[in-house]
Amino acid sequence: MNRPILTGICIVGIMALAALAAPLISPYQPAQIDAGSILCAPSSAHLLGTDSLGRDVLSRLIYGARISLSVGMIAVGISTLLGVVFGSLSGFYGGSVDAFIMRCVDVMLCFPAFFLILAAVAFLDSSILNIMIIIGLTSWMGPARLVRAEIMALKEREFVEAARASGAGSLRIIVRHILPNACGPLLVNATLAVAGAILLESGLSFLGLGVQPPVPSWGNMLTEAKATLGVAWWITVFPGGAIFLAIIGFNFIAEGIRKELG
Amino acid sequence: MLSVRNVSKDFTLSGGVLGFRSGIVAALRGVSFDVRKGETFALIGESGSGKTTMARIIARLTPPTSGEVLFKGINEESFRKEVQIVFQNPYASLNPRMRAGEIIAEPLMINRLVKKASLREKVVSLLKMVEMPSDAAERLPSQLSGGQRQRICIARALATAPKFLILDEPLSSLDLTIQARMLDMLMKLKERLGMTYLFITHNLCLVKKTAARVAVMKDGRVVEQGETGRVFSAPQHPYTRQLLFVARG
Amino acid sequence: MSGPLLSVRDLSVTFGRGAGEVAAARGVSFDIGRGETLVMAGESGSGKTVTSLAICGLLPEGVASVSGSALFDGEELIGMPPERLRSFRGGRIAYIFQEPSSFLNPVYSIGEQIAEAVRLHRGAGRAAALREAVKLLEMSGISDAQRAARSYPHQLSGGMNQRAAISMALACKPELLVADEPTTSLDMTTEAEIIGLLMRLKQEMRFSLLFITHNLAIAERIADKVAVMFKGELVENRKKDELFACPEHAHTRELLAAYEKVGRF
Repeated sequence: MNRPILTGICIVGIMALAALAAPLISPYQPAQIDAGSILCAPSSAHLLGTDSLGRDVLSRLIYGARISLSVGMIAVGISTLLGVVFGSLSGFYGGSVDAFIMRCVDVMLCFPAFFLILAAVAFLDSSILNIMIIIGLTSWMGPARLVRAEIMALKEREFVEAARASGAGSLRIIVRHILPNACGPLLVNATLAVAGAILLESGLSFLGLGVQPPVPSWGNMLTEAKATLGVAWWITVFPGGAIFLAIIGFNFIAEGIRKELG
Repeated sequence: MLSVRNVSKDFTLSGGVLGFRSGIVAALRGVSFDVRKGETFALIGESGSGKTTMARIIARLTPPTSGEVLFKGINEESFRKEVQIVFQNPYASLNPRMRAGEIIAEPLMINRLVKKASLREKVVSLLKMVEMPSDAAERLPSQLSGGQRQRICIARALATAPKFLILDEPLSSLDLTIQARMLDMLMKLKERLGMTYLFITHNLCLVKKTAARVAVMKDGRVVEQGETGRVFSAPQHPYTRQLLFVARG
Repeated sequence: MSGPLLSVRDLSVTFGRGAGEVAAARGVSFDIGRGETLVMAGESGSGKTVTSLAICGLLPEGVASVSGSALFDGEELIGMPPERLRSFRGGRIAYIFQEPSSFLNPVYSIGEQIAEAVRLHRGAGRAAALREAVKLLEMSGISDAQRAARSYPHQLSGGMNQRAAISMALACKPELLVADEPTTSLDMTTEAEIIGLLMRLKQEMRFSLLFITHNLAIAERIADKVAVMFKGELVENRKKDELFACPEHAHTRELLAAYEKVGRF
């Protein structure tokens, strides 16, 4: 276990635990309004201060972690799954199947991801589930290309031929022989994608198109922070810092995995 | 037992925007030869001669573009059990993530030859056949030496009790002393299990010692074939003569 | 100018430190006379490559520790400062690897690379060096030398790349050529051609040859003396005919027996 992985796991682990244990460790309810303590600086009562509605920043941060981390992981789960399916079909069968899928990839890559998502969100309502699905549906291209490349390389390896010579069918070959060996780069890619998805969700929420208040998300906490920037630094710094830490954490993990794979 | 009749194989190079062909490589051209039951037949050739492609066609890993490959005495349904192949590179023909025991057991499981309970027993007996200890089953390919990996490949090929075994350069990546031991083991196994061998090699000493009949390949064609003794003492084709000249130093 | 060209005494190469120490070569001693061909034979892991790399100072500094002596024409190579060693390498001692690709840079043409070697050691101008490169390629038996010089390594076959590597090695007329399994990855016929080329060039240019191989057929063909390496030690070092006729060490006998079985035609 190398340093980057350990550091990354620590950071992400703490966030994940906090998110899971939110009801237990959060000092206040995230939507709890305390009209008497509007825009209070960090103090012993409110460790990270309060926002313009008197809500405790720390509690919102912890509950916000739930949103950000789950959106990140599930969106990436969807995109990786789609990517594996399409990449496998493309890489394994080649020919016109491959050509067709790759042209689809090219077409989708023509559009900047963010605008695709904006367009989708404009038509559908922005529930958390929809956001996860949309991000997932617009980011499968990367994993697909990766899996396709790995499969095309592995397909020609002799141990795959040996499996065929023993009578193994295509499904068995893909599942038992190819995918386990293609895991590595895919894992690195997926980990980095989580960081990307968190950033995407934060961006959407910041623009008001993602998670809607009063549900706290690090992104929409920053929306409110826009107005209070000069006055209450803690409303900007802490959510921003959380996003920053999350992304660094996942990047470290990805780096560590990449190192292990050599 | 095996009849190769006028087999040709073309490979199309794919390229272009929609995957259309951009060129054709003729790997094999009108290759014909026979292998008799119980003998050791050697296919001699250097790289680019098409010998490995021929091996893969015989093992039905790729179809010929034209011509046919006929087996006599082999049941069509159990082809994958009765005809097996050992590849050239022991490092590449083992899945780096599977343990030796799992690798050997795979053909048994695919073909449902053995009940789950007696699987381990069968694997151990196969390991014994290739002169390896039973605890080797737990090792990963990366933990085995070149000779050991080759033995695992052979054990895997023998798992389905094949009648016809294709060996593509089985000795070339090994140390000399290991080669000698491996050769002894292979010939003993052939005797014991009554198999027919198709050796693909460029090692003429090996051919002289083991093969009754040979076919020499160059650039996708068979340039000469016949009984080993005759071909080596009175070669007809200039390429054969060149090979013999080089081998004699 | 008498006495052996290269005199190695008690050479040892160790990797790692402390508990994890591995001795790749131990107490190796041998001589190579002027104009002599010494074939270093052995199986994988016997230490033959490590020994020759150590002599030429090609082992990475922090990883390997080398002790012992290697006198090249009276000068001590082990422990020689890197700048001095560099003028030896390529100039008086040349090295050829098994894979020409470890020798040849894929982004420069063959001609440019050979010319660079010529310029470095003989200080010739650019145009003159390129002409010399083409001449050397011709000498190595490449028929269309002009075109070969303009080609890149990936455009030429393994055999031609190895010929190019030989040209580069001989660009500065070395006194000792170390060839580490140069033909192992080549076809039989190409191998024979390259070996023939090396012997011919050796005759013409009169250099000593240290040929490392596991193929005893090559040893039988070209060696004056054969040194057998086994598990890091040099177990036998004799004239070729004597070694093949009556081997003394058990491992040599084992090797020769295996050679009879699968190697000798």
